[in-house]
Amino acid sequence: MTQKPPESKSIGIEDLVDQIVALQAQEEPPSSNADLAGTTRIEVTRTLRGLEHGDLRDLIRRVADTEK
Amino acid sequence: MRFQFDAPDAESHGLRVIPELPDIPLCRIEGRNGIGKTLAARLLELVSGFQPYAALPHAWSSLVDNLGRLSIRIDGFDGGEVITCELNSSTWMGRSAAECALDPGKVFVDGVETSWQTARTYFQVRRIAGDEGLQETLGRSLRERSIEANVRATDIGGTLSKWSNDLRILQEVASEIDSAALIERRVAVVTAEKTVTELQEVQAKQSATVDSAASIARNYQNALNVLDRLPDLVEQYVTHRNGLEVASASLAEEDKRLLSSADATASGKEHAKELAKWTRLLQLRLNALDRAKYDIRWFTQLADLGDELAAQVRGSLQARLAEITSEIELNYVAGTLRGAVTELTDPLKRLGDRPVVGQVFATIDRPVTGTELRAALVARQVELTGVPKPDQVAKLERERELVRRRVNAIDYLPQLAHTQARKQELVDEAQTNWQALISRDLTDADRTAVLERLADLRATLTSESSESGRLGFEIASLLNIDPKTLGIATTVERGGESELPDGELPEEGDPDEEDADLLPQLTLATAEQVKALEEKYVADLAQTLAQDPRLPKSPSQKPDLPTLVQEAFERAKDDEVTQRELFDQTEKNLETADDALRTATERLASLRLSIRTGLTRLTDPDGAWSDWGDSFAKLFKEAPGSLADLTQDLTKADNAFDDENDERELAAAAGLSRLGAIVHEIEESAALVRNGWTTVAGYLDATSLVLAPRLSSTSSGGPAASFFVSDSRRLLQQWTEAELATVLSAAALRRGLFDDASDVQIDLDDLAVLWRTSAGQRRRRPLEAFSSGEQVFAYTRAKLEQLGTMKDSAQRTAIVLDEFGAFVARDRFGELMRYVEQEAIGTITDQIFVMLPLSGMSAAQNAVDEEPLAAAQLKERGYFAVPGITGGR
Repeated sequence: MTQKPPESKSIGIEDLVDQIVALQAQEEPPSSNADLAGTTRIEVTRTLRGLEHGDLRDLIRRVADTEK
Repeated sequence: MRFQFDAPDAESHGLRVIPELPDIPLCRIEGRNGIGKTLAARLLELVSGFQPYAALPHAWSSLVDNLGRLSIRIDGFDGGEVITCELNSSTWMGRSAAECALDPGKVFVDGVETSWQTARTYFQVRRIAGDEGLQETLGRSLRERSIEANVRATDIGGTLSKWSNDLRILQEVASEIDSAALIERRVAVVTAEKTVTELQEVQAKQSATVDSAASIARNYQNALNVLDRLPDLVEQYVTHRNGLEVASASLAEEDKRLLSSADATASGKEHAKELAKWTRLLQLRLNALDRAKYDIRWFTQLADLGDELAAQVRGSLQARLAEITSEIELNYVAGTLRGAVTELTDPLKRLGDRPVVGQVFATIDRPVTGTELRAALVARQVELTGVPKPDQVAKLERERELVRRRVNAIDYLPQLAHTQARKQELVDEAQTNWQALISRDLTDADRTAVLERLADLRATLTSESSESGRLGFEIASLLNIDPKTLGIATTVERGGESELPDGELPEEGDPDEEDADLLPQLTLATAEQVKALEEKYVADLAQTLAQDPRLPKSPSQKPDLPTLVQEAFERAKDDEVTQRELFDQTEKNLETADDALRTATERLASLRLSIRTGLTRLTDPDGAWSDWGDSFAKLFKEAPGSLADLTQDLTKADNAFDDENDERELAAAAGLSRLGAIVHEIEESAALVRNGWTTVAGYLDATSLVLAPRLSSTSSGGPAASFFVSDSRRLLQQWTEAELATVLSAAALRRGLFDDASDVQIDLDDLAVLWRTSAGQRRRRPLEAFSSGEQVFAYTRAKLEQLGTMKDSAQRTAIVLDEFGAFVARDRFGELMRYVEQEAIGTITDQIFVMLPLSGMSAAQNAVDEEPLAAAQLKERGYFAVPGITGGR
């Protein structure tokens, strides 16, 4: 049996997907701009979960605003 | 509660629903398969807000297609209310199953439409399937989550498609734009230009070197010719020049003797003085006449031409000159081309590296820039340098020079003819006077003898002078020196300097003064001078050979001069070939460099066009993103002002990215590049999230099949659970085990199946359940063990107890026990019914419907025998619903 993490019972399926996405992102070829890739993934995830406004333009603006 | 169903469209689509579930607390319903018992129970769950098809997507889809209109009437409430549910499955199309369960249609309480939330405070119905064990329940639970995840993946896929469509413009705008690439391409162009310039400089130097080598080879070739002919010419010259000296001395001696004789015999000194004078004048005038004849000896045949005839001859000569020029051009194309190439190359060279040389000068099968044209012309010039001049052309060139001189001379002809006539008159006069003077003291015989002797001497003098002059010309021509160096020049060659200005005859006066103009202007070089010239030539050649790096410095045995010159010539030719090969190699390198420059220029231009087009499209007032341009201003942070300003600034016709250091262009490229990166990352991230949901859905689906193989008919067909590897699988399994542990940890299940354990876990690797008893003992049991009769009974009890909380949310509740035929077969049905009657009714729920299959005529006959009412119902509707349970079961 696999080791069950202490917080596992409190993890919703959205959180599970987030963790899977994070793992899949690690398996992707390294991005030339890892910061941008990380920021964009967070913003896209939040948008798709409905935690942020779903308009694509807002999404781009939010990511653009994080550009250093 | 009584539930009455009316589904007018269903039967025509092969779907049946039993018409009624009566208001009986414990109701046994028996009927044939396919009459719609289970469908009735599931529809009641649906209107209760619970989706019974969550794990059965195909069955749900079939229901949506075939049910049509459905009315459910519910009564039997404490207040006498009547609830009516009006559904139509066509309204469920395109909506999620979960959403349809929350809002399946319209609901009325006593005819007044109300919300489902309110209606569901009146009633709640659930169905328990008797053929569903613990393992299958867990599988069904995972299947429901899998379908939920699949729905999310599909939704996100739809969003992703929409985003991709919207992002298409931005992708096109920012496609392949990269500020680093811009810098790299700028540098590439500058580097390529530098390479081309350097190679052009190298080529120019090599061109001069090739010319120099060719010139040296030609000089040595000429030297061979000179060495071959010069000695003989010089020897002849010396002979004739000496002959001239001898004749001149003899004549002088004869004159002297004649004068001495005259002086001795003459009557007076005056006579001797007069004779000496005319003797000297005669010689001078004869010399002058010879000069005049010499000047025009090559057109003496024209001596008596008038002006008209001279004009005709001149015209004829000019025509011949044109013919010769044309013939030379035809027979020496290389020379003609070389001249044309020089005419083109010189202005291009003067242009230097100015931008105009990058412009297209010609289009043949492709545009040719000034740089390329110049390089090509220089190369051609070098090629043409090596083309030897045909003998025929050399001959023509000599003829052309001669004809030119003749044309020139004809212009002087009248003047020269006049001069010669005047000189002849002067000679005649001198001759007459001189003869008169010598005749006075001589007999006729003596006079004749003297005159003949003097005539011979003068003829010899003229012949030797003429031959010396001819040889002098040849020597001068061979040595490529001015004939004047050898004392040879005609009046014409002296630049038209006329002995008789304006063609006028001199005034008669003192013969001495007059004859001063008739003295020969030049004196033929002496034999010694010519020999010295030959020696100097040989000495110079020897010095040149000594300094020639191509020849060995200290030859062990010094070869003769012609051999040495021949060797020098061959080495110079070799050197010329080598230099030409180097030039050709540079030419190839230059072609490669030109190609590289053209490619680099095109790549830079392409990127610059993309940047300009990208900016224009991004800020196009009619475009989808024009209002958003300034929201992306941070991406273009290196450029001051708005994005629209930047676009306008950079797309001005007179300032369109022509500065390699333009920071605005770099800022535009960087901004578009960042925008492109963001667009790319958004699509990548959205795809990752969708794939995440797909992965989770696939794993849960696969695991649900492991637990409940019967669900395979409704599976989404994803990969087996074992397909998921490494970290993702570990994470998915941990989450799934935690999720299933939550299901198993329900109080009723813990109490009924797991010794009231506080913590229940599941091991998906072994498909086992683990728990610790209240006494602290660890228990581990495979899931399969829960399919035994005893365990299934315990599980059903536990599930009933789980539904006990339902009573807290609704005025009336009902539970349908469906598919319990197996219990009948296992003889546990009576035990279950006793439990239901004694412990469930009134405690867990208000009503329980037990649905059983009518299995064959014997059972039906039993029903008829036992209960007449049931028999009537069976006959009328294909099923019967009666209170309580039969003792036999």
